[in-house]
Amino acid sequence: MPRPPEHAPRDAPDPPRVPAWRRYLRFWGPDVDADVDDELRFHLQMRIDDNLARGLAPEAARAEALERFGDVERVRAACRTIGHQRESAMKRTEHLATLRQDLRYAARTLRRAPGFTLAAVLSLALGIGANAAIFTLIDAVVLRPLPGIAHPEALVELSTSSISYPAYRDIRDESGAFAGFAGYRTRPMSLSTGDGASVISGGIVSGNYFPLLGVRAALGRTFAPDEDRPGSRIPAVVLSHGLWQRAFGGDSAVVGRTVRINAHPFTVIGVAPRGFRGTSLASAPDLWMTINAWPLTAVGSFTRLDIENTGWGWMQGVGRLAPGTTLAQAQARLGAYIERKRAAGSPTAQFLDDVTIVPARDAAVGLDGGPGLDAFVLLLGAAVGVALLIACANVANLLLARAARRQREISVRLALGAGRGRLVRQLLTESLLVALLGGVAALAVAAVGGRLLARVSLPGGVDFQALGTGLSPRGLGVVAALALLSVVLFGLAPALQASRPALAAELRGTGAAAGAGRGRLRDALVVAQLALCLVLLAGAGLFVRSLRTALAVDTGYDTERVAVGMLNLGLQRYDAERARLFYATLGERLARRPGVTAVSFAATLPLTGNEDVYGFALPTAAGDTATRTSLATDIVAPDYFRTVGLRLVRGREFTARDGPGAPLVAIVNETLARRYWPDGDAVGQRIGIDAPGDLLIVGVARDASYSSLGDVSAPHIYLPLLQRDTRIADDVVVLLRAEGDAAALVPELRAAVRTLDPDVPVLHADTFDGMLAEVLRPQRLAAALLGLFGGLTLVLAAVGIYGVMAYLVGQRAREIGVRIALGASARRVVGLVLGRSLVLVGTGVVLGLGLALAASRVVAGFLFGIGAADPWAMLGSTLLLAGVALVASYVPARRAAAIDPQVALRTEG
Amino acid sequence: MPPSPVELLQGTLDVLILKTLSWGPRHGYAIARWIEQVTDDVLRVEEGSLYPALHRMEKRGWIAAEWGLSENNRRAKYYRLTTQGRAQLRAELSAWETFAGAMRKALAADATPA
Repeated sequence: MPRPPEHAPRDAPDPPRVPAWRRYLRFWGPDVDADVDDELRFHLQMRIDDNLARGLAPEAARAEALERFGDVERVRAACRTIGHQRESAMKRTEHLATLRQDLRYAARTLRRAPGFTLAAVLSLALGIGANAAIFTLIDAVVLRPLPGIAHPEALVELSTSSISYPAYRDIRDESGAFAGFAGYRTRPMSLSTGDGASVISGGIVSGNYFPLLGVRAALGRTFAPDEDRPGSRIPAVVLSHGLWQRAFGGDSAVVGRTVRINAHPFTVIGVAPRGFRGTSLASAPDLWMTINAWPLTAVGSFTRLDIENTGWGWMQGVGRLAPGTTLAQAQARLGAYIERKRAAGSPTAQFLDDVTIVPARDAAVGLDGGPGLDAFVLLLGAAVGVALLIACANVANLLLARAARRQREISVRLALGAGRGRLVRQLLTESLLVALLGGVAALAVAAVGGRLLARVSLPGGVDFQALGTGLSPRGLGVVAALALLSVVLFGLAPALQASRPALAAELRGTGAAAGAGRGRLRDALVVAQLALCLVLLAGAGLFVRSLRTALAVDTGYDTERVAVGMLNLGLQRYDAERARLFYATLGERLARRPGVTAVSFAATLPLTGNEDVYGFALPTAAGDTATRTSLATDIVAPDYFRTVGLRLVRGREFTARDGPGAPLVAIVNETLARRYWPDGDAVGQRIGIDAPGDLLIVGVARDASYSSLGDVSAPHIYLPLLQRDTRIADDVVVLLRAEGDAAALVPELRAAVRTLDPDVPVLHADTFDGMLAEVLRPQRLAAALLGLFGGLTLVLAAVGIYGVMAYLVGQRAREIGVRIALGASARRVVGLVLGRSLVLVGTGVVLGLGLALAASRVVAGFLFGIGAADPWAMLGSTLLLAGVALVASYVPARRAAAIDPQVALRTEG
Repeated sequence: MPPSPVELLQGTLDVLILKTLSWGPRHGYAIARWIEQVTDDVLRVEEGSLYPALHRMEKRGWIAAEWGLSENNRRAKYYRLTTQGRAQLRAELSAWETFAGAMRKALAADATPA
């Protein structure tokens, strides 16, 4: 049957022809779309052929074929979709299979080298774990020091120690420096919830405090801005989230309940959100009350508190900058405002002498004097970061050494046609597995480290626990990121190097030449390890030296022989009269105890960062006594100087006769006496405190350290506690002088207080030395942590240099054998190897000292009595590092000297 | 619950394809021709619907495909039964037997149960 050529069935009707080039796509893999087209075209063609054979006309044959087939487009689309799905599923399976193969291979190789695996995993676990543990601190102190506060960057604090309430009100209403200005302070308070009383930290805030910070209640409400007006509403408190959980078990029915604070009833109106700690890291309040409610709880020196008194500064000010206002602009406005007030003779200008504005963030982490807590935490962070770098360098070195041993295997695989990419991937999988194991082990290290850190209280009395310990999701993220980063740091270079050997040389078995480049990389890693290790050792050395200096300092007190107890009778609603009686009885009873040679009391304990400051009228050169000078003041009971072992150079101690009603007396220190009466005797002179010349100087005491270690040469005044008994129902320190061991008196002190009044809590009791140890805690902490990491990294660095030297000896065994055969002595051979090691150690030390000197400037603020470049610390750490490194190199050097030339020459290099 | 017509059709088609391939590799057109012949066009299906079924079964791993030359020297995609497909066929056959037996028995019953 003739067929019209225009209907040639070879031209399949549908689907349309595929361009020829598409066929070539199959060169790289199956082309799903073209395959479907071909298959369908084949079917239709066959049907048309059959129809033609049955005698149908070409057109009818084609029509019948299409009719039988149905919707070609739909079928084609369906087939293509299924085909593509199949294709990608296959690719996935293939990738997974490769990965599984790589992982299995990696696991097998790691199992076969347990020593390497253990060393690598442990190095990483310690490095990553330590970083994760410290990260929690960094997160709380540096990254998010003001949690729960809206837009903390616009928040500022007044840097002055404190301002009066009227001054606060004036600044808030008149200065125009801020968009909002709130005031606060914290005081210890006694909280009774029905089942027992506990001492808590109470926040006293202006009504606008919470709105200003942008803090909303998690439950109930916070204060309204006008809620601090005198007598405005019922006395109310807002609980912190922590106290709510602790004391009320998170009961949501707590709102409306009544709690007693210093025995006065308050109504709970709300709970602050979780994480909100106020604006200072050092003193997180457990609850807040408004300023007008505070007098209800008044105890101790605050029994007659009059918040309208302009001469009484007690508040911290926190302000919010108006949008678009800079700190400098606010500072300028505030400065101008204070200037106007002073010019107008306003009493509220008092205490506002050098008011500056600082970001609230800095104030929150700031410590009294010296660098802030954030600097300290960052210092720790840097130390653990360096430790991680060293750990990575160590693992990289281990990997390089392994790669050198596996060079033959790798060469063979390359020669057999393994792709370089495939090989790098294989080696990286091995590193990844090491990092994974290290990361998992790091979680354990971080958990243990976190628990250890939780026991440590940070400088400034910041409790680590309050900052939240344990691994947060952010902490876990950091662990994962560090583990991955470490793979890149330690795995990539060795993998790239290992997969690029000089093939021919390796296969011939003379790989020595090819190892040169790898040797340089290993040298560089070891030098870096040594240098970083020296930085940590030098840091530890600085803190150890600083501690020793601080401990050796003559404070002026006999700290070893004194036991100390801290009480606050005000928390049990003692008034001054009862408190005086309490202490008189306590003193009498304690003085009768065996082993007690003297008993006294003071308002503050020296050297622990606390001090009272009073204004005094002192004679000037012109003889006028009108100007007042603020001076650090110790308020002390009779026998104070005998008890703490401070010598009086002239005059007498306070006695029981210097009580209320008796003439007001004072004792000054040598510096003050010399400064104001350089030619005459200070004893018998008069100075003014409440009225001109109302104080008679009765003694001159030796200079000592006052609020902190080392500040020896400041003028200082002592006043009798019995004549300043506004302080007697407040924080008071009981001091006992021991005949023998002061520690033995600590339980006696507690027992005596308990017998006298079981409800009076002893806030803290220890020996004076023990209290000092608390003060030196940052130094100790830094010395201990840097020492720990320094020691760890020293071990790692020793392992590193040992590895490099052992490798060197192995590579040059033949050469050394020749030298020995030619008559080189064992000493010469040892010298040869040690000389090489000395070059590395020398380079590391020079680099390390440079780094250490640069880094030490950061820690200078934490050091006591020594310079940042303290030669002893630098020299000591250098000698330690060099010594350990040379000992580690000596072992391979001895082995080199013991090489048998016959054996060495017979074996292939 | 009676199966929906589409499911019945699809399931039936799958069994038929598996059965066809149990005698050896075939291309799609041959499978279509065989079904047409043995069922005397009673189970008339659109030939096009054969291909999505084939591809789906290939994805499931019941059958495998390979390009080859047809009787008249054209490039054709040949399908063959895999081990998995053979097991599937056995399972489908026994399920079919059970189903058909039950249906026969039910339809032959002449009394309502007491």
